Amino acid sequence: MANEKRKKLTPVQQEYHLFEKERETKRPVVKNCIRAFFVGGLICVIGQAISYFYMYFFDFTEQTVGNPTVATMVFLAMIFTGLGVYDRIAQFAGAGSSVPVTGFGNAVISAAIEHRTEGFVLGVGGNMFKLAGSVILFGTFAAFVVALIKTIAVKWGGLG
Amino acid sequence: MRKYVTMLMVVTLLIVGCAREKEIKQQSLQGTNMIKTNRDGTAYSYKVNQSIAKQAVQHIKARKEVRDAVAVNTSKKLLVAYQVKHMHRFRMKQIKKDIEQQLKQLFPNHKIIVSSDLKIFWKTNELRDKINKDGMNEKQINKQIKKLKKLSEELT
Repeated sequence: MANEKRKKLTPVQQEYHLFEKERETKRPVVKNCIRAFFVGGLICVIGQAISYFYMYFFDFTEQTVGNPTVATMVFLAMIFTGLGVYDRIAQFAGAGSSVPVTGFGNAVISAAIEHRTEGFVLGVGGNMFKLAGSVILFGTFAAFVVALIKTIAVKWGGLG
Repeated sequence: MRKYVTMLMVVTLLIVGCAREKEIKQQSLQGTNMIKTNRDGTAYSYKVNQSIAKQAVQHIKARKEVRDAVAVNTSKKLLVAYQVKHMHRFRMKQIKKDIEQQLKQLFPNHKIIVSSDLKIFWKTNELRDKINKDGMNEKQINKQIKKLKKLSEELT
Protein backbone atom coordinates (compact mmCIF):
# COMPACT_ATOMS: atom_id res chain seq x y z
CA MET A 1 0.00 0.00 0.00
CA ALA A 2 1.19 3.50 -0.82
CA ASN A 3 2.65 5.57 2.01
CA GLU A 4 0.18 8.46 1.78
CA LYS A 5 -2.75 6.11 2.04
CA ARG A 6 -1.30 4.43 5.10
CA LYS A 7 -1.17 7.71 7.05
CA LYS A 8 -4.93 8.00 6.87
CA LEU A 9 -5.40 4.63 8.52
CA THR A 10 -6.26 4.31 12.19
CA PRO A 11 -3.51 3.02 14.53
CA VAL A 12 -5.22 -0.35 14.74
CA GLN A 13 -5.32 -0.65 10.99
CA GLN A 14 -1.66 0.29 10.75
CA GLU A 15 -0.79 -2.33 13.30
CA TYR A 16 -2.74 -4.90 11.33
CA HIS A 17 -0.97 -3.84 8.17
CA LEU A 18 2.44 -4.55 9.71
CA PHE A 19 1.13 -7.84 11.12
CA GLU A 20 -0.10 -8.88 7.71
CA LYS A 21 3.05 -7.80 5.92
CA GLU A 22 5.18 -10.01 8.14
CA ARG A 23 3.14 -13.12 7.43
CA GLU A 24 2.15 -12.89 3.78
CA THR A 25 3.97 -15.15 1.32
CA LYS A 26 6.56 -13.27 -0.68
CA ARG A 27 6.17 -13.16 -4.45
CA PRO A 28 8.95 -15.30 -6.01
CA VAL A 29 9.88 -12.65 -8.57
CA VAL A 30 13.31 -14.00 -9.47
CA LYS A 31 12.05 -17.56 -9.86
CA ASN A 32 9.17 -16.38 -12.05
CA CYS A 33 11.55 -14.38 -14.20
CA ILE A 34 13.86 -17.35 -14.72
CA ARG A 35 10.94 -19.63 -15.62
CA ALA A 36 9.50 -17.05 -18.02
CA PHE A 37 12.91 -16.57 -19.60
CA PHE A 38 13.43 -20.26 -20.31
CA VAL A 39 9.89 -21.16 -21.44
CA GLY A 40 9.64 -17.99 -23.55
CA GLY A 41 13.01 -18.86 -25.06
CA LEU A 42 11.84 -22.39 -25.78
CA ILE A 43 8.78 -21.07 -27.62
CA CYS A 44 11.06 -18.83 -29.66
CA VAL A 45 13.30 -21.81 -30.50
CA ILE A 46 10.26 -23.69 -31.79
CA GLY A 47 9.31 -20.62 -33.85
CA GLN A 48 12.82 -20.45 -35.28
CA ALA A 49 12.68 -24.14 -36.19
CA ILE A 50 9.35 -23.60 -37.97
CA SER A 51 10.70 -20.62 -39.90
CA TYR A 52 13.74 -22.68 -40.97
CA PHE A 53 11.36 -25.44 -42.05
CA TYR A 54 9.43 -22.99 -44.23
CA MET A 55 12.62 -21.53 -45.64
CA TYR A 56 14.11 -24.92 -46.45
CA PHE A 57 11.12 -26.66 -47.98
CA PHE A 58 9.22 -23.72 -49.51
CA ASP A 59 10.17 -20.55 -51.34
CA PHE A 60 10.29 -18.19 -48.38
CA THR A 61 13.19 -15.88 -47.64
CA GLU A 62 14.25 -14.51 -44.27
CA GLN A 63 12.24 -11.41 -45.14
CA THR A 64 9.02 -13.20 -45.95
CA VAL A 65 9.11 -16.18 -43.61
CA GLY A 66 7.69 -14.18 -40.69
CA ASN A 67 4.06 -14.33 -41.78
CA PRO A 68 3.63 -18.11 -42.15
CA THR A 69 5.68 -18.71 -38.98
CA VAL A 70 3.50 -16.39 -36.90
CA ALA A 71 0.37 -17.96 -38.35
CA THR A 72 1.61 -21.46 -37.50
CA MET A 73 2.62 -20.52 -33.96
CA VAL A 74 -0.75 -18.88 -33.27
CA PHE A 75 -2.53 -21.89 -34.75
CA LEU A 76 -0.54 -24.31 -32.58
CA ALA A 77 -1.23 -22.22 -29.47
CA MET A 78 -4.95 -22.25 -30.31
CA ILE A 79 -4.97 -26.05 -30.62
CA PHE A 80 -3.05 -26.45 -27.36
CA THR A 81 -5.44 -24.06 -25.61
CA GLY A 82 -8.39 -26.10 -26.83
CA LEU A 83 -6.77 -29.29 -25.55
CA GLY A 84 -6.07 -27.65 -22.19
CA VAL A 85 -2.31 -28.01 -22.44
CA TYR A 86 -1.47 -24.33 -22.85
CA ASP A 87 -3.09 -23.43 -19.51
CA ARG A 88 -0.68 -25.73 -17.73
CA ILE A 89 2.28 -24.20 -19.52
CA ALA A 90 1.01 -20.71 -18.68
CA GLN A 91 0.59 -21.65 -15.03
CA PHE A 92 4.21 -22.71 -14.90
CA ALA A 93 5.78 -20.02 -17.08
CA GLY A 94 3.58 -16.93 -16.59
CA ALA A 95 4.72 -14.10 -18.83
CA GLY A 96 6.98 -16.47 -20.74
CA SER A 97 3.95 -17.98 -22.42
CA SER A 98 1.83 -14.86 -22.82
CA VAL A 99 4.34 -12.36 -24.20
CA PRO A 100 5.24 -14.31 -27.38
CA VAL A 101 2.67 -14.32 -30.17
CA THR A 102 1.35 -17.67 -28.91
CA GLY A 103 -0.20 -15.74 -26.01
CA PHE A 104 -2.41 -13.97 -28.54
CA GLY A 105 -3.84 -17.26 -29.80
CA ASN A 106 -4.38 -18.36 -26.23
CA ALA A 107 -6.21 -15.11 -25.37
CA VAL A 108 -8.56 -15.49 -28.33
CA ILE A 109 -9.46 -19.13 -27.80
CA SER A 110 -9.70 -19.09 -24.02
CA ALA A 111 -12.18 -16.19 -24.19
CA ALA A 112 -14.18 -18.09 -26.82
CA ILE A 113 -14.28 -21.22 -24.68
CA GLU A 114 -15.23 -19.24 -21.58
CA HIS A 115 -18.26 -17.63 -23.22
CA ARG A 116 -19.41 -20.65 -25.20
CA THR A 117 -22.47 -21.12 -22.97
CA GLU A 118 -23.83 -17.68 -23.92
CA GLY A 119 -24.41 -18.68 -27.53
CA PHE A 120 -22.46 -18.18 -30.71
CA VAL A 121 -23.30 -14.57 -31.54
CA LEU A 122 -23.35 -12.77 -28.21
CA GLY A 123 -21.14 -15.31 -26.46
CA VAL A 124 -18.33 -16.54 -28.67
CA GLY A 125 -18.49 -13.84 -31.35
CA GLY A 126 -18.89 -10.94 -28.96
CA ASN A 127 -16.30 -11.99 -26.42
CA MET A 128 -13.65 -13.69 -28.55
CA PHE A 129 -11.62 -10.49 -28.90
CA LYS A 130 -12.23 -9.28 -25.36
CA LEU A 131 -8.54 -9.35 -24.53
CA ALA A 132 -7.09 -9.81 -28.02
CA GLY A 133 -8.97 -6.72 -29.20
CA SER A 134 -6.91 -4.47 -26.99
CA VAL A 135 -3.76 -6.19 -28.26
CA ILE A 136 -4.77 -5.35 -31.83
CA LEU A 137 -5.82 -1.80 -30.98
CA PHE A 138 -2.72 -0.81 -29.04
CA GLY A 139 -0.45 -2.75 -31.39
CA THR A 140 -1.78 -0.81 -34.36
CA PHE A 141 -1.61 2.45 -32.46
CA ALA A 142 1.96 1.81 -31.30
CA ALA A 143 2.96 0.97 -34.88
CA PHE A 144 1.39 4.24 -36.03
CA VAL A 145 3.28 6.27 -33.43
CA VAL A 146 6.60 4.57 -34.22
CA ALA A 147 6.09 5.10 -37.94
CA LEU A 148 5.30 8.76 -37.29
CA ILE A 149 8.45 9.21 -35.23
CA LYS A 150 10.53 7.47 -37.89
CA THR A 151 9.06 9.56 -40.67
CA ILE A 152 9.79 12.76 -38.77
CA ALA A 153 13.31 11.63 -37.90
CA VAL A 154 14.09 10.69 -41.50
CA LYS A 155 12.51 13.79 -43.09
CA TRP A 156 13.75 16.46 -40.73
CA GLY A 157 16.46 14.86 -38.64
CA GLY A 158 18.32 13.35 -41.58
CA LEU A 159 18.39 9.95 -39.91
CA GLY A 160 18.56 6.66 -41.81
CA MET B 1 -8.45 -39.77 -24.51
CA ARG B 2 -9.87 -41.16 -27.72
CA LYS B 3 -10.60 -37.68 -29.01
CA TYR B 4 -7.04 -36.71 -28.23
CA VAL B 5 -5.68 -39.62 -30.24
CA THR B 6 -7.93 -38.81 -33.21
CA MET B 7 -6.82 -35.20 -33.03
CA LEU B 8 -3.17 -36.24 -33.04
CA MET B 9 -3.77 -38.51 -36.03
CA VAL B 10 -5.46 -35.72 -37.96
CA VAL B 11 -2.59 -33.34 -37.25
CA THR B 12 0.00 -35.96 -38.26
CA LEU B 13 -1.89 -36.69 -41.46
CA LEU B 14 -1.98 -32.99 -42.26
CA ILE B 15 1.75 -32.65 -41.75
CA VAL B 16 2.49 -35.78 -43.79
CA GLY B 17 0.28 -34.36 -46.52
CA CYS B 18 2.47 -31.30 -46.69
CA ALA B 19 5.66 -33.36 -46.82
CA ARG B 20 4.70 -35.06 -50.08
CA GLU B 21 5.05 -31.92 -52.12
CA LYS B 22 8.82 -32.06 -51.94
CA GLU B 23 8.95 -35.52 -53.51
CA ILE B 24 6.94 -34.40 -56.49
CA LYS B 25 9.26 -31.46 -56.93
CA GLN B 26 12.30 -33.73 -56.85
CA GLN B 27 10.77 -36.06 -59.40
CA SER B 28 10.30 -33.23 -61.84
CA LEU B 29 13.90 -32.13 -61.24
CA GLN B 30 15.11 -35.65 -61.98
CA GLY B 31 13.34 -35.43 -65.32
CA THR B 32 15.29 -32.33 -66.30
CA ASN B 33 18.51 -34.04 -65.27
CA MET B 34 17.83 -36.92 -67.62
CA ILE B 35 17.33 -34.59 -70.55
CA LYS B 36 20.62 -32.94 -69.75
CA THR B 37 22.62 -36.17 -69.69
CA ASN B 38 21.26 -37.03 -73.12
CA ARG B 39 23.18 -34.19 -74.73
CA ASP B 40 26.05 -34.31 -72.35
CA GLY B 41 28.80 -33.48 -74.81
CA THR B 42 27.32 -30.19 -75.94
CA ALA B 43 26.47 -29.07 -72.44
CA TYR B 44 30.07 -29.34 -71.26
CA SER B 45 31.48 -27.13 -73.98
CA TYR B 46 29.19 -24.34 -72.74
CA LYS B 47 30.55 -24.51 -69.21
CA VAL B 48 30.73 -21.02 -67.74
CA ASN B 49 33.97 -19.92 -66.18
CA GLN B 50 33.46 -19.37 -62.46
CA SER B 51 36.77 -17.66 -61.66
CA ILE B 52 35.13 -14.28 -61.11
CA ALA B 53 32.77 -15.79 -58.56
CA LYS B 54 35.74 -17.36 -56.79
CA GLN B 55 37.56 -14.03 -56.68
CA ALA B 56 34.49 -12.29 -55.30
CA VAL B 57 34.10 -14.92 -52.56
CA GLN B 58 37.74 -14.49 -51.58
CA HIS B 59 37.37 -10.72 -51.30
CA ILE B 60 34.18 -10.90 -49.28
CA LYS B 61 35.37 -13.62 -46.96
CA ALA B 62 38.33 -11.42 -46.10
CA ARG B 63 35.97 -8.95 -44.40
CA LYS B 64 35.78 -9.48 -40.66
CA GLU B 65 31.97 -9.25 -40.41
CA VAL B 66 31.32 -12.01 -42.94
CA ARG B 67 31.07 -15.59 -41.78
CA ASP B 68 30.60 -17.31 -45.10
CA ALA B 69 29.96 -16.42 -48.72
CA VAL B 70 29.09 -18.07 -52.01
CA ALA B 71 28.90 -16.64 -55.50
CA VAL B 72 27.86 -17.56 -59.00
CA ASN B 73 28.62 -15.66 -62.18
CA THR B 74 27.81 -15.51 -65.86
CA SER B 75 29.53 -13.28 -68.36
CA LYS B 76 27.36 -10.32 -67.39
CA LYS B 77 25.98 -11.04 -63.94
CA LEU B 78 27.46 -11.79 -60.54
CA LEU B 79 25.29 -13.14 -57.73
CA VAL B 80 26.80 -13.05 -54.26
CA ALA B 81 25.20 -14.35 -51.08
CA TYR B 82 26.85 -13.98 -47.69
CA GLN B 83 26.12 -14.51 -44.01
CA VAL B 84 26.96 -11.93 -41.38
CA LYS B 85 28.45 -12.82 -38.00
CA HIS B 86 25.99 -12.65 -35.13
CA MET B 87 26.90 -9.42 -33.34
CA HIS B 88 27.57 -7.60 -36.62
CA ARG B 89 23.98 -8.14 -37.72
CA PHE B 90 23.06 -4.78 -36.18
CA ARG B 91 24.92 -3.10 -39.05
CA MET B 92 23.35 -5.24 -41.78
CA LYS B 93 22.38 -2.35 -44.08
CA GLN B 94 25.77 -0.66 -43.93
CA ILE B 95 27.58 -3.96 -44.57
CA LYS B 96 25.42 -4.62 -47.64
CA LYS B 97 26.20 -1.15 -48.97
CA ASP B 98 29.94 -1.61 -48.41
CA ILE B 99 30.02 -5.01 -50.09
CA GLU B 100 28.02 -3.75 -53.06
CA GLN B 101 30.42 -0.86 -53.50
CA GLN B 102 33.49 -3.05 -53.17
CA LEU B 103 32.22 -5.51 -55.75
CA LYS B 104 31.24 -2.77 -58.16
CA GLN B 105 34.77 -1.43 -58.02
CA LEU B 106 36.31 -4.86 -58.48
CA PHE B 107 34.06 -6.05 -61.30
CA PRO B 108 32.78 -2.98 -63.16
CA ASN B 109 31.65 -5.01 -66.19
CA HIS B 110 29.24 -7.20 -64.23
CA LYS B 111 25.76 -6.50 -62.96
CA ILE B 112 26.03 -7.26 -59.27
CA ILE B 113 23.32 -8.82 -57.13
CA VAL B 114 24.03 -9.00 -53.42
CA SER B 115 21.98 -10.70 -50.73
CA SER B 116 22.50 -11.55 -47.07
CA ASP B 117 19.41 -13.73 -46.93
CA LEU B 118 19.85 -17.28 -45.68
CA LYS B 119 17.47 -18.73 -48.25
CA ILE B 120 19.33 -17.04 -51.10
CA PHE B 121 22.57 -18.34 -49.56
CA TRP B 122 21.29 -21.91 -49.60
CA LYS B 123 19.95 -21.58 -53.13
CA THR B 124 23.15 -20.02 -54.45
CA ASN B 125 25.17 -22.78 -52.85
CA GLU B 126 22.92 -25.34 -54.52
CA LEU B 127 23.30 -23.59 -57.86
CA ARG B 128 27.08 -23.44 -57.52
CA ASP B 129 27.29 -27.15 -56.74
CA LYS B 130 25.07 -27.90 -59.71
CA ILE B 131 27.24 -25.81 -62.02
CA ASN B 132 30.38 -27.57 -60.80
CA LYS B 133 28.81 -30.99 -61.15
CA ASP B 134 26.60 -30.82 -64.22
CA GLY B 135 28.06 -27.84 -66.05
CA MET B 136 25.03 -25.68 -66.84
CA ASN B 137 25.12 -23.32 -69.79
CA GLU B 138 24.93 -19.55 -69.54
CA LYS B 139 21.26 -19.30 -70.40
CA GLN B 140 20.25 -21.71 -67.65
CA ILE B 141 22.39 -19.96 -65.05
CA ASN B 142 21.00 -16.59 -66.09
CA LYS B 143 17.51 -17.93 -65.64
CA GLN B 144 18.31 -19.23 -62.15
CA ILE B 145 19.97 -15.95 -61.15
CA LYS B 146 16.94 -14.03 -62.35
CA LYS B 147 14.73 -16.31 -60.28
CA LEU B 148 16.86 -15.79 -57.16
CA LYS B 149 16.92 -12.03 -57.69
CA LYS B 150 13.16 -11.99 -57.86
CA LEU B 151 12.95 -14.12 -54.72
CA SER B 152 15.30 -11.83 -52.81
CA GLU B 153 13.21 -8.78 -53.70
CA GLU B 154 9.96 -10.26 -52.43
CA LEU B 155 8.56 -8.43 -49.44
CA THR B 156 5.42 -10.30 -48.44
